[in-house]
Amino acid sequence: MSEYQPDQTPQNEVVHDPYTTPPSSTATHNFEYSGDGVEMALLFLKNLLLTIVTIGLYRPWARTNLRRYVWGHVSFLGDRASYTGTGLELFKGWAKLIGLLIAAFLTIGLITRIVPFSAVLLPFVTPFAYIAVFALATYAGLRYRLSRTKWREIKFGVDKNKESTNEFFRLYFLGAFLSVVTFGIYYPWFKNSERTFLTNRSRLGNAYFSFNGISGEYAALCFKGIFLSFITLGFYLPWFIRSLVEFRLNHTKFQSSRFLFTLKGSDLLIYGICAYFGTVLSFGLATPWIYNWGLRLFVTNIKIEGAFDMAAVTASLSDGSSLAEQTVLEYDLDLGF
Amino acid sequence: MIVRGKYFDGLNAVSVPVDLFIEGNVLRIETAEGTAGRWPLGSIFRDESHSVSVVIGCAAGEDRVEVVDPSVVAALNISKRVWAINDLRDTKRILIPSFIALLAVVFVGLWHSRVLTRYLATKVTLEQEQKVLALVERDSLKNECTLNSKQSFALDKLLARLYRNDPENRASTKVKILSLNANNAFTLPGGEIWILKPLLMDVQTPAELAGVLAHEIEHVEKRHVVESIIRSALFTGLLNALAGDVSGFLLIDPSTAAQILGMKLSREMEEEADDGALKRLLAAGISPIGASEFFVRLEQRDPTSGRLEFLSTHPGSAARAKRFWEADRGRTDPPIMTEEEWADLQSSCETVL
Repeated sequence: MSEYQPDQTPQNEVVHDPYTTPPSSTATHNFEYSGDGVEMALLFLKNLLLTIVTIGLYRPWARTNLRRYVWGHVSFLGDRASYTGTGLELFKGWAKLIGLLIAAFLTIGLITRIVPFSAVLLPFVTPFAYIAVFALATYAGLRYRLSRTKWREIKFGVDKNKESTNEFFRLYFLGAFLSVVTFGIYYPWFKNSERTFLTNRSRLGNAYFSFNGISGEYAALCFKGIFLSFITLGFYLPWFIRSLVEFRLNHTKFQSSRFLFTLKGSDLLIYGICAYFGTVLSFGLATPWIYNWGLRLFVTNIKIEGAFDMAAVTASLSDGSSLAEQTVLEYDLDLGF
Repeated sequence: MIVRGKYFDGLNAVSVPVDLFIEGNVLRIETAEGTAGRWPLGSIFRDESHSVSVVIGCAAGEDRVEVVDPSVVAALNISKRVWAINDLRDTKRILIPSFIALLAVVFVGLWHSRVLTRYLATKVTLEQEQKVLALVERDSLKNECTLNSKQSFALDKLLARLYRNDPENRASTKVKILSLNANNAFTLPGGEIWILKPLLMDVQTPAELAGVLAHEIEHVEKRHVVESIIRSALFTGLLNALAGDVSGFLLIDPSTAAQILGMKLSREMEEEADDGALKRLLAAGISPIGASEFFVRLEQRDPTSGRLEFLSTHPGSAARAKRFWEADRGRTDPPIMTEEEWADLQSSCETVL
């Protein structure tokens, strides 16, 4: 029988005894990750075998298993997060997407058969359809994942209504269009606007996150990173990735606190080299350990600095009941976001 | 019995330390400020969304208790099934050796998967291959060169010579010349061979072209293309399934590992094609020195081709040149085609895209 031993934590670290964790705080607090490579490998193995046996149909359940494991091993202030999504929900999202695609292809086939000349318009219409699917997957996917994430039994969420959906589609179409016509130069402005839109609608219970990153600064960071990565033949890439994550987190606030990212570029470089050779030389078999290591590296380097009051965070009414959960129509479209 | 835990009321984001008391058929949840709840034991369930820690709830509400000591599961008489599935640590001792054994089997199986892929390739009919070909060809056929009757005759003569010993198989192979800007020749599903115009200009003699064609014909006869497709689907599919959700997180896609594993099999196929080409050339009475000279030129252009053979799909050019050179029997056979026919064939397909 295992026993709880609260005195095992090293002396110099900020300790969050689960029995004495205060609801409010002003110190700097780390996110923690307790995942284990062997357990991750076992999970991968289970997912792999069942995915093979079911000819891929198990994949949504496999994804859910992995999320449950990862979420459950991420903790803050001594309390673990949890993932309440199910494989069936993901499967429905996937089926919905496939259904939409089949319907779209059938409709296009029918129209071009009846009006052969309309085929000329296809190259112009198809990109819009792709952008719409990506926009939907980004917004609805994030909403789904956050609505299925809990911490201290309070759900995260993303606000969404008809007006905000239209606004997001406008933002997405305009961003995609300007990114294409400017040969990608506008892309950082587009991504920063997207992040601002989504973060400002994300919340834990009734407490909103906010994002105040300036698009021009983000673009400057991107151009500098691309330039330096190019002239250093990719050597600068880890520092570039780190700077992007740092920008996103440093400009994200929760109540009066803000996020920090303390990972060093050199650590990311070492990780990248080890991940590359580890994956190649093990023919992909080291993937679970490499993935787990990467998660630990990222999660444990995220901190929250400043004042927040968790006692003031209450469950949002729209997320509180199981009935509300059943009526959430968005599914994760699983496009890799 | 007293078990410590953390109580979440489901209303506020706070974690409250509690003591748990089992009193008859009720679990009493006691905070420092008083009783937070009394849960009938029959209504208590394990919250499965918490796969790492033991979190219990009562059918009536949204509040939860995280139990720090897992022994409470037994005490509360909750189904142990969930606990057994989720606590991977408990099953480590059995699963790790199974995992390593399975990985070893998969690895060895993939390394020696030629038996399987070769067998599966024989199950694919030529008609099925031709359907795949139709998909590939749809966009490329506009680059096909139209040969005049003399050029077609010269090419047919060369092919008939190469099929001297197995003329019954001649019908399964179709050769096309395409005006694409790459110095290459390759085999497609459905028994089709594409010779790209720059290669046709690069080969110096009909014997060199015969060497290239003999090699590609062996790929057709041995069904290497369809076997490659099967192999690719097996390797990449399997390793991607292994990486699953996480490939995007990694700096390298695990399918690269599959490609490297696949290179060994590609080399085996190329060696088989070289073996068959050598026999075919000798049976056709065509000196393999032509093919050898072609390989010598390849080697001169890329002297590193043999150094990293492990990471290549083809054997090194120098070794191939030597092999074809040494196989020459010094036989003098009638020429494959006249000099006029050869010049005419090379002049086909004037425009290279």
